[in-house]
Amino acid sequence: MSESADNTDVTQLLIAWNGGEVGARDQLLRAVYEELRRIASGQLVGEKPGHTLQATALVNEAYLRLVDQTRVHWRNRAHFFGIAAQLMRRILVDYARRRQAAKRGGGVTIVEFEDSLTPRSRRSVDLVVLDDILTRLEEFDSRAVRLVELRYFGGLTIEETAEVLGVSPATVKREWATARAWMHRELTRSSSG
Amino acid sequence: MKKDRWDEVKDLFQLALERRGEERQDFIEEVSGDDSTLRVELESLLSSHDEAGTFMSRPPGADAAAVLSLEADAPLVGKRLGPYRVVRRVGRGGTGSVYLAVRDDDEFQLRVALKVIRRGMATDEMLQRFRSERQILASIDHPNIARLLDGGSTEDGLPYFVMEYIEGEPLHHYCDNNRLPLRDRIRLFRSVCDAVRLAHQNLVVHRDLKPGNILVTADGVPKLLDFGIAKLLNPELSSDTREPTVMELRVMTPEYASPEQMQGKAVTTASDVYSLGVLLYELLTGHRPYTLSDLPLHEMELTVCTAEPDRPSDVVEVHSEEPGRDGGVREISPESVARARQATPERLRRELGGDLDNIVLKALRKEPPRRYSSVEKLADDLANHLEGRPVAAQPDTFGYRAGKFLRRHRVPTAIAATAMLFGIVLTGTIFLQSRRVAAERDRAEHAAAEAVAVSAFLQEVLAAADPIEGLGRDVSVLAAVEDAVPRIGTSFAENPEIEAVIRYTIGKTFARLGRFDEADEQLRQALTLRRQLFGGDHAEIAETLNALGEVRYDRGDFDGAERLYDEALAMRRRIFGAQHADVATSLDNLGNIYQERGDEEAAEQAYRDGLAIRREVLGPDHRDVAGSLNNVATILHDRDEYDAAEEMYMESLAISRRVLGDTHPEVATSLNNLAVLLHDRDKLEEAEPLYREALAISRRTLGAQHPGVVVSISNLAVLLTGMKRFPEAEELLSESLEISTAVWGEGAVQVAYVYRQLGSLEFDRGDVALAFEHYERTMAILDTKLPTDHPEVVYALARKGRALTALDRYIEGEECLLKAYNAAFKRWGPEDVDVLEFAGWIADLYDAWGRPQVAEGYRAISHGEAVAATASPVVTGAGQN
Repeated sequence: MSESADNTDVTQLLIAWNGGEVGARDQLLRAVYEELRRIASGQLVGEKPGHTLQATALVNEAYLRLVDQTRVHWRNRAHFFGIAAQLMRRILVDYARRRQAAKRGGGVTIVEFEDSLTPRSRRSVDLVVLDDILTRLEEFDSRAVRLVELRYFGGLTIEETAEVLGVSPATVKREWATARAWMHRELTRSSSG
Repeated sequence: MKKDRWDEVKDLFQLALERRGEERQDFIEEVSGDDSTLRVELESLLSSHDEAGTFMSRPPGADAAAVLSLEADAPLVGKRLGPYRVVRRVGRGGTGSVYLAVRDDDEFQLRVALKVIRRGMATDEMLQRFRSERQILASIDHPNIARLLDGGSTEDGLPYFVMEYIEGEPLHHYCDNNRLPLRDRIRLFRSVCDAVRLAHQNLVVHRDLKPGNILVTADGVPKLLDFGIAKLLNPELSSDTREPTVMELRVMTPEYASPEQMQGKAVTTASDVYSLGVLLYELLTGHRPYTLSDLPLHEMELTVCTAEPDRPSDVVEVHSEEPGRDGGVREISPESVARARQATPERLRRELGGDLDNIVLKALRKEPPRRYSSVEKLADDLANHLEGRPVAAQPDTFGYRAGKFLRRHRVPTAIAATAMLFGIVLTGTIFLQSRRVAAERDRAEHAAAEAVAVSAFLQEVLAAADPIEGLGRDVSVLAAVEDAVPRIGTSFAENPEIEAVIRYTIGKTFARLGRFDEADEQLRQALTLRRQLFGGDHAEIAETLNALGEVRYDRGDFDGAERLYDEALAMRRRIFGAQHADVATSLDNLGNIYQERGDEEAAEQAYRDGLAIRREVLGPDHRDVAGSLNNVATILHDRDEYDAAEEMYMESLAISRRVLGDTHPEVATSLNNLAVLLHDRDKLEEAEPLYREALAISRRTLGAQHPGVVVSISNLAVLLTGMKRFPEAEELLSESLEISTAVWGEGAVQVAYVYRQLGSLEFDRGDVALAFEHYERTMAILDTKLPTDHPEVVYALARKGRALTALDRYIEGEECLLKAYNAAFKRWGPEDVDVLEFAGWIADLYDAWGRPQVAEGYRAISHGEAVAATASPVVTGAGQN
């Protein structure tokens, strides 16, 4: 998929999916993924370098590029951000899994090629474990998982999350606090036990 | 867990979260009953919530864009690139991937490192540049430099560079693994310097010196990698002065990049000197000069440009954590650092102190001319040190070190590194935003949406710097804000809407920091911009009017404030109708003005109206409701309706604690007011701990020199005076005087209040002459600022009169006391405690004066035995006899 992901298509897909067309979701996922990649690698024609590299920016930008905002309902917007946030989760977690695998299978002394903006964080959460925990949370509180995806992987603020989920910011705050407490506890347990 | 069960747990958890301390405990007991599983579940969730800290509050560690675009690079393993066969990937990162490859068209197989530039980083020009510069690069022949051999492009058009393949480990790991003592580390480092020197002689600047680019072979020979690569990626960096793009920043490594590199200014050999300084710092101490790993890009930039690193001899005593190679955390302790250097912490500290401190810090100076003028000079100075000769580097004086960033104002005490970092956020953001805004201009369809995002973001960041919102931050945020101001005009010249938001936000921040002149200026400009932008009625105009009014109020210009508040209120009512939180805010603010002027009736009305709206619109549990309650309570308090006032203060305090937590400045306000009430009711022992808690919160959250601290200090001082603990009280009041003068200026009413308190302290201690002096200062200020019947004037006047009595200056004393008495009588009526007290003081005066008959009359009034209703004019007459 190269130029086909223009905004009419995606807007159409969003509307179709919202209208109950289940198949539209896969197409959407692909389109959004492609767009995220294109934005990230600055491949777009006439594109200037200088993008912010945070997930939020990527997702927002993908939205602006792909969706005709005059035609969509807030619910479509919610779906878009939900999909993008889930994608970000998958991308980052897959990457973390591969890195782990590479490390285990390594054996050779690797010249760590320490680039400036490669993944790093002083207290970085182990994304693989986090992902497992989220999968467990999904079993009994899928709304909390959507919220975590939007907030953490999609980088949305409380207010944006509230808008996307169609609830009040106060609710998002409460639910976020709860999910965070639960996840933090599970993470602590999994690392100590 | 079952969904039903979880829903129950979740609800209870959220309810418990709204309660604190014992209340929470009781709640858990109550709801769990016999269900011990539920109790454990709730308790573990609650403690997890308390421990979570910043857990998940930052985006995932991995940079989403980097990961995504790495995805785009097809793996090359097994493929051929020109004469090279790719064997395996040995590393990868932001600029691309490094592969081990062999050149197998020859008889013997040459192993090479092949660096493939990632999609998005690569350009055609890069290859052209490579071709033109490769002669130079190839000519650098030094035992410590890995040679650049070749270059080309892949089938997909991605450029690659071929370098001598070095098997070894990064410099700092090599040193640590072999437990090299300082001297050996310095020797190794000097051979690195020598390699860099040779490259500099060939006019090649490395630009990306870091441990990962310096490998030490099994024979102990250091080899520099990637010489010239950074420049090939970014030729412009050396040629002009401008801000680097993110792409460019990606090529360097912020931890090792010099300030000029971070700012995109001309990069010279001095930049390599700086990077070598960082390397040396790390080699010697095990720490990096700054911790950047947690920071977004723009904050890194400002840290590198402004933060002063600790001295090496100091930093080795620090415990810290660094990201480990596996993404985990590596603990660094004085012991582990010393052990890796075959020393004790104490010895290490001694060895680093003096020469080595000076040498390292000279290499790390922010301004290129103040560093070593060449790598050779740095290496020479290290040789001087090793051989016991005097070194050229001298300690930097503090005056200069504090330097540019703080030049325009006095900063209280030591500047904490965190505070510097924090300040940096602000300027950094503005920079970043201006840069982004410029880029966005070309993309008209996104400009509007982007502008909103930009502003919101900035507002959020600045608000976090605000001591009220961003709890417990240091005041030197001020430095950052001040530093940012001159840039606003130029940065947003073509985007007045954003400029207005930024000026508004900065103005508010200045105001909260107690810098009223600057606040006034920024808010006025924001107001002008917004009036131009929006014309007539607009929420943002009202918001700005209100903010400006608050500043005028804070600096004591009540008339000015009232005009602005009135305009804001009227506008808000037109825009929002009567029932709106913003309308309540305006009412509240007007109430403040009325109260200051002494019009308690109007003030109460305004506060109560505001309270009603807030309860309606915001619900009962909201910080603004707590604020309104507090305001009404102050009126009741002034009117001596103590029970009602106490109740309202308690309610306000409870809401604040619940909503804001125990250490919020607004909790301090509530605590303080409640303490004043207890104080007024002579419950001194009960009041003291409340005052102290309030003061502790204020100091912690506002910084030592904030106006909010003055209130807490003054009140505690008065209490201590009442308890005859004079030295403690005096110390506090001197501090308060100093802060008030610095914040509001010498002639401000707030300063007058402190003088009045000092006067009372001295009077109670028995130094009447000194007390009188303080009262005179008080009156000198108040006479020009407040109406003559203002309560503060009346109190001060009466006390001045009392001091005059004690000084045997009866005529003057009589004048003061009678004036005060009449004003108080008129204002509060015959039964007011102050009126009665003043009558007693007048009786004292006439007794001392030898006019017992007149005295007797006032004594009777003061004891409530005589009706004072008609006393006032008669008294005046009597006094004139």
